[in-house]
Amino acid sequence: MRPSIYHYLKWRQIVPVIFLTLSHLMSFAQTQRVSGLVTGETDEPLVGISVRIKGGTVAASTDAKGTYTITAAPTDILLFSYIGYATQEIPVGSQSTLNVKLLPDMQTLEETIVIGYTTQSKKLTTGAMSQVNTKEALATPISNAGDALQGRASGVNVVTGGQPGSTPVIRIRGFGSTNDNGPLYIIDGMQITDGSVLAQINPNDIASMNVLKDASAAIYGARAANGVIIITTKTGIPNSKPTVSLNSYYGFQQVASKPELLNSEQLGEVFWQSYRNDGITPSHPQYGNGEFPVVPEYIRGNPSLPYDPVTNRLTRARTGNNWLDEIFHTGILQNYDLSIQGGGEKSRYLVSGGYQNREGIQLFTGFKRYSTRLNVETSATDHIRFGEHLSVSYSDVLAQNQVQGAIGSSPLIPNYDEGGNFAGAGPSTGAGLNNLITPLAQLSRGQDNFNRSWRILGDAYVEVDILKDLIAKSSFGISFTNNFAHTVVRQSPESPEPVRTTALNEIQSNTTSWVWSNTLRYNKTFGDHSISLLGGVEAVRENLRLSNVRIENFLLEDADYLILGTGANAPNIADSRWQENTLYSLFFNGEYAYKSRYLASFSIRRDESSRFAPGNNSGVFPSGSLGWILSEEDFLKNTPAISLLKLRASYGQLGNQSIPVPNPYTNIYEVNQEFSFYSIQNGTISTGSMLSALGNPNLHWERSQQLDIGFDLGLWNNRANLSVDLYNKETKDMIIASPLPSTAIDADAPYINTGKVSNKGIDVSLGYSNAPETVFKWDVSLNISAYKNRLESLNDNNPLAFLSGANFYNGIITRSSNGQPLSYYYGRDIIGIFQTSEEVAAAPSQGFVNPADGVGRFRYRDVDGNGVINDLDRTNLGNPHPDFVYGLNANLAYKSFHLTLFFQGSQGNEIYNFPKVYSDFGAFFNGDRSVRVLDAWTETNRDATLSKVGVSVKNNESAPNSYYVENGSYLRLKNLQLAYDFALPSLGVKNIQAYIQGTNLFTITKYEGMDPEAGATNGSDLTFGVDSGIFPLARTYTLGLNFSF
Amino acid sequence: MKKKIVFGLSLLFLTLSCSKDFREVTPKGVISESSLATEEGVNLLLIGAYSMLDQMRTGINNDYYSTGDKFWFDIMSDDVHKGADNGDLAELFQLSNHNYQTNNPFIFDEWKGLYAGVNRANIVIAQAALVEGADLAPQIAEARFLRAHFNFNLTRAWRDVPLIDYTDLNDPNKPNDGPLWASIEEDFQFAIDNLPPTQAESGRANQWSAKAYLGKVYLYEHKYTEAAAILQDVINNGPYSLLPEYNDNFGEAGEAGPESVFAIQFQNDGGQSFNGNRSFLKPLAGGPLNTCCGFYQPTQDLANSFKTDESGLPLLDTYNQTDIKNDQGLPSFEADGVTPIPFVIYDGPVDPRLDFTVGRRDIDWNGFGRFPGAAWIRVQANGGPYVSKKFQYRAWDYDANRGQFGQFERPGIHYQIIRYADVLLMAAEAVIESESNLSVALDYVNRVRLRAKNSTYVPTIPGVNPTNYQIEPYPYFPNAEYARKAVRFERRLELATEGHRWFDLSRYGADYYVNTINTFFRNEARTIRGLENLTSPALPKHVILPIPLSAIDLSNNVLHQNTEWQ
Repeated sequence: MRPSIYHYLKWRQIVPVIFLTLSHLMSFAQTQRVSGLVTGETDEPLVGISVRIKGGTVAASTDAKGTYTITAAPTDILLFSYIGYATQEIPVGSQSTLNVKLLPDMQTLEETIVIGYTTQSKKLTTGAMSQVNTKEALATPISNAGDALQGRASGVNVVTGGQPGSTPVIRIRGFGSTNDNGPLYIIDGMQITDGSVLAQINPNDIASMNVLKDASAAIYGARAANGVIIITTKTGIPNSKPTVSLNSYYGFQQVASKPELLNSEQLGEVFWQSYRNDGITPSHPQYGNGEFPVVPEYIRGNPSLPYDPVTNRLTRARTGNNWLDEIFHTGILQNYDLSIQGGGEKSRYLVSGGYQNREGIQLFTGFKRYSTRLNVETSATDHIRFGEHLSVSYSDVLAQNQVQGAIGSSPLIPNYDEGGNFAGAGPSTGAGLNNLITPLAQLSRGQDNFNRSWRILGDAYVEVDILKDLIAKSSFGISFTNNFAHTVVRQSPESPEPVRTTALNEIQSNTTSWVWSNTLRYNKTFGDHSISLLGGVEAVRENLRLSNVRIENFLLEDADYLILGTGANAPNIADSRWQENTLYSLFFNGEYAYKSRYLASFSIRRDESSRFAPGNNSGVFPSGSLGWILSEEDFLKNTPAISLLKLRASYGQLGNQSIPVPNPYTNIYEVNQEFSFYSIQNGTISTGSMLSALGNPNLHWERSQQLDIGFDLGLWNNRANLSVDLYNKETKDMIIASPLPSTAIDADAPYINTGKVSNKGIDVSLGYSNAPETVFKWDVSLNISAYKNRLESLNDNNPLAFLSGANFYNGIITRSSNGQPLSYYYGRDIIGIFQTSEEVAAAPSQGFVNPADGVGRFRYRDVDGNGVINDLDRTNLGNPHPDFVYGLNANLAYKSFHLTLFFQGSQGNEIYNFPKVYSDFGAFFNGDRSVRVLDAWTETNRDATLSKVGVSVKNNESAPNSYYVENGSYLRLKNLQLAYDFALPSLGVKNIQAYIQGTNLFTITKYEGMDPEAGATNGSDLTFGVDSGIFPLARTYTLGLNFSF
Repeated sequence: MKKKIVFGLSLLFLTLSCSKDFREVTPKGVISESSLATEEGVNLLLIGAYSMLDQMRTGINNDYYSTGDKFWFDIMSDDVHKGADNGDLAELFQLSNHNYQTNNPFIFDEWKGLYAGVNRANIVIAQAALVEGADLAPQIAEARFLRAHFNFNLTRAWRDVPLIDYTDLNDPNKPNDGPLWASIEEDFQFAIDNLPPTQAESGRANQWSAKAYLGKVYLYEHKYTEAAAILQDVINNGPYSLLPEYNDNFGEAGEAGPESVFAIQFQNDGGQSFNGNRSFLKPLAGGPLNTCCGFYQPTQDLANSFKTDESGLPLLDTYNQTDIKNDQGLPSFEADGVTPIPFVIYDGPVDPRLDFTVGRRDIDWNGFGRFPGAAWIRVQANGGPYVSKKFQYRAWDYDANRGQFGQFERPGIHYQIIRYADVLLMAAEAVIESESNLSVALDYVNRVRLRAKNSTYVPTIPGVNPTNYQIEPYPYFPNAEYARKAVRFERRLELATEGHRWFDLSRYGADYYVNTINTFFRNEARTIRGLENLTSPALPKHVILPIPLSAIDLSNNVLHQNTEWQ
């Protein structure tokens, strides 16, 4: 489409035009000066647009205001071109003012990507990046923007948590370290390593999310080894009227699936079978001592006496109190966002406010967030621009999880006794019911707990055009968080181990961090060469102050009474911290493009971190990349099917210094009331001190190098596209706080540099959309990510060295060693169940006193083949790393109807189902069991899956073994949305969208635990993959309505 | 234009000039290593080392897994049942039943607690070496005393354990090549040579406590001659004596008194009672103070051992042929608030120490009145009819000692690691084994018995038949074999439920251990139904604990499993 030139001509302009034309005619005969404004689709001025005379050499480009001036003859044709925009050809004719509106070329090419400190056209990028389609991803009812990355960005593994307010585990391209594998977040001008920040950002404010996966992240040097997630928030459009948008949804959520537990009758039978298996005459304080167990009518109290709250609580046993049913309920979910955006001639703005209230699917859990945002950008003069992003949010989290308690509690205990109090086994009267406080009582007593946070996050910048092509920018970002956690431990008189005094814990913490970045940017095009240079200096300071005060013994238990001052006992400072660290960096980035088809880029960054001792505290991280856009070459240019073909390669070094302590280079001693004081003189307490953390003065950067080769292919006007990246990422000198040997002092382990880990992988994303002019529109996109994680070497001096994961109650489950992936499960391998004592006698010895004891018990593999089964026969039982993860998104539209489907899955990973130690082996004998024990071995059930039940755990069955390791693959319908668009012009409403949506509607998996998305790492990736009784994800149904006017 | 350039350059300059102060951040709220290299610093670290006597290390998984007062070792012996509900602390039940495995969390945390203690002592020694111009030999001596204490507890429980010296702070991964007897002896000898005979502060080790402890070490090494010499030195020349009242050893009255040779000085400071006994699971379930959790219940076997003949001497061989009458299975006295349940207490002759040790039906429980039976017991069917009494609250001093944290009691009752009666009995054993000096042994044993005889007995509850207390000194020891048996029996009676029994059984030898425990399992099933099927037979390997599996894992297999446990 050509704009009508005459349209722009107003009579007022004619006089000067004539004057100018004349003067130019006079001086240059056949040439004239032509000037004008180049704008984009929404009338925003476009900067750096190339203006050329067709077939000639004269060229110009638009300035910061979008204006250009060029000298041309009336017969010339001007070419206006810019990557991503359709080139326009306009004959000069007699005009001296040519205002041009450029329209985007094709959808994918319009995209600019926010990369380190600047933006770039997606077409010209040479790094491996995953840009998330925020329109699709953020349309789902999520609380945490990190959830939006799941299945939508290739190379990014996301495990979301069911606990309201929890932070998903995000890992980019595998596990590069045994230390901290969390990415760096750039939110507008602020850098943050704390993943919880995403819970405090309103997803609706997010304009774009881009993940830097390869060495292109190297501009962030020291903190970039785990990838960088760049989030930019929305802003307004200059010269536009205010647009008001209201997005809202309301819905409910439920538990998606619950493992089946025994009812009280079945449990009694299992008890009887257990006694008989162990040669004991069955007798149970609740089930009697007859030939068959009898479910009692009352578990406590004397039903023939009147109710007495102290001595004679009447507690009726209910048949089959399934505690998993009792702790889950339907939670209400609501979300309202209001935003206003627009702009004047020189400025643009966005104001937004949001409210979300999500009740968890477990009783008395939830998340509330209030958020506001103000983003303003303005051009103060022709050469100076400034702006700010500011978000203030408040969140209130009530996190509790009683999944494990629900499995361990006795089904005989009802919710309440006959006086309406919580029922329990009671001190000394309700034997055979376990010592657990019921999960219902636990959750209820925690309902007044809270964890409230204020977070102020924002940045302000000023940008000055020093020269025409040289721009200086100074940006200052801050993040301030005030956190207030209040936890009450209430009395539990109904418990066999009652809590007798009320206790209150209050944690107050302030976390402040700021980033000050100053950059100089130079962009210039000389004919076919275009360069872009960026240099900068940056300082980061992070500061934490925390105090945790505990007081015991309160007169009343009312929520309103419980403040620290009303406690009777002396206060105790359970924890107090003041931590600071700084980072000081210099960086440079250069980009070069020849003929817009041969691309090269180079970055280098030098970081200096306060976390390391002088001498080890600085690191230099270089990287480079090359790209070749083949589709611009003559031999492909005339192949209409291929709209884009780009080859890319990058290589670079990145660093990691994420350590949760500020001074890991030195030994830390402290005085500690709890662990270093002693009554050396009878009747008094003396102050003592202790070594609390071991330091390592030689600690230095963890370094990873990454090679990435990829290509992007677009076909048929980019309706179909494919991106493939292969990478090899190697990390050496991993920073590890490996658990100390058990013979060490009771101090925190030192951080050390050791070992080498590699991640080799492939990221694939492909998409297709049908012809845009059809009535029925559809598109589909798929991305698949696979990585092979391998600990190449841990300790060159000791090839048998390994790292241990967290110690669970029954031992260490995970191990990491040479040639294996991080955090594989290590234990005994079950190869069957012994059927006869002859079989036991013939097999390698498992330590049974006599062979008959082994019948019906697990038979373990004799790994070392020495004829004895012992701890040396433990082996690798599988690992939590998937063969691949994938996401499939499909959009279908017919007229005003839109249907979105999003599937997500993981294939080939294993999960260690830790709660089986309780539900299958009865580590709490009187607790409930899984229905799996109905298939335990007996004389008449010889092809059982589970060894025979017993009164105590024998034959090492509670220790890590292959029974706990399960296939964790799953395919899940993450989201299904049906929307209808319409308008109500009479009411001034431009656009209304109404939709119904369901998330996590179904899951196909063989995993028998609560939820196959069980990747919580308990703070350490050395324990990745162990399900310790997680809070499951909810199934959500929502109804939404979005307006804009 | 100039202004803009100045702007740009000044920004660069501002950030480029980031000072050293910005780039280096010193730690806050901590003590620097250099300031601890002073006498004051060493003293602070020494208190930190004493603080590990209760084995509460940072990062402990459960307070009761690791134990200064060795309560769970008693549970492995014939003195005490685990108590509570069988399913509650199933891992402890497995220890009690001798069907535990190498991954038992109690075994692991006990190990780690003791090594934390060894290293806390090592830090004192290492820091003291950095101090110039001050004589820190006394501090080093106290640290070495403590280190020997921890190493002794490691060696006697696991035998083959690694030696971690003060130079190994940064590399504590050492093979477990054997018992540490040489190092323990050396440390105690250093303590004897460098400590004053008395200390102003009651909790500190002194020369005499070091001698008594070294005597105990010799006894475990079967070095009876050396043991006899040094223990007799303590008896003849040391400052200790028996308290007139036996029962005062287990409460406020005996704390830091003349019978206390070396103790963990627990203290029920306000707030969270960090310095109280934090692994304390012994209190009654409910009861007069409404306490939790009712673990640690004396066995019928222990109660029976207090039976005497008419002449007031113990029934060394026959004590367990019949049971002292108990109320197992009976409802509590006045359990329904209406009817007293008829129960007639045992009327045969018993040692008066029975009722200072074992809480039983219708006898006063530590001044809180009549013990009613099942109502104060968590699960009588599981743990039996008895509760413990030593180192428990007493009605007359519980205010001074009670410390509470949530459901747990953290009392300030001192635990006697070595008390003088123990010294006398160890000396008696040493002289019998070394020189067969039966008359000296007889004298030591009888001093212990006479003190018990002359103590004030537990008063009879009105309306209850009085107990027939009989205790007399041995008239003579006819031969060494009898004397040995009598001394071993006396140790059990005098020191029952004080954390010694399992170690004594184990050092008497594998045969003795296996025979005693298996006999006990058999007999005890008379009282606790099904016990023989819940337990596994004791085997010779059970005289030591397995090296914890997680310790081996964390050592990258530098540690190896004890041969018996492979």
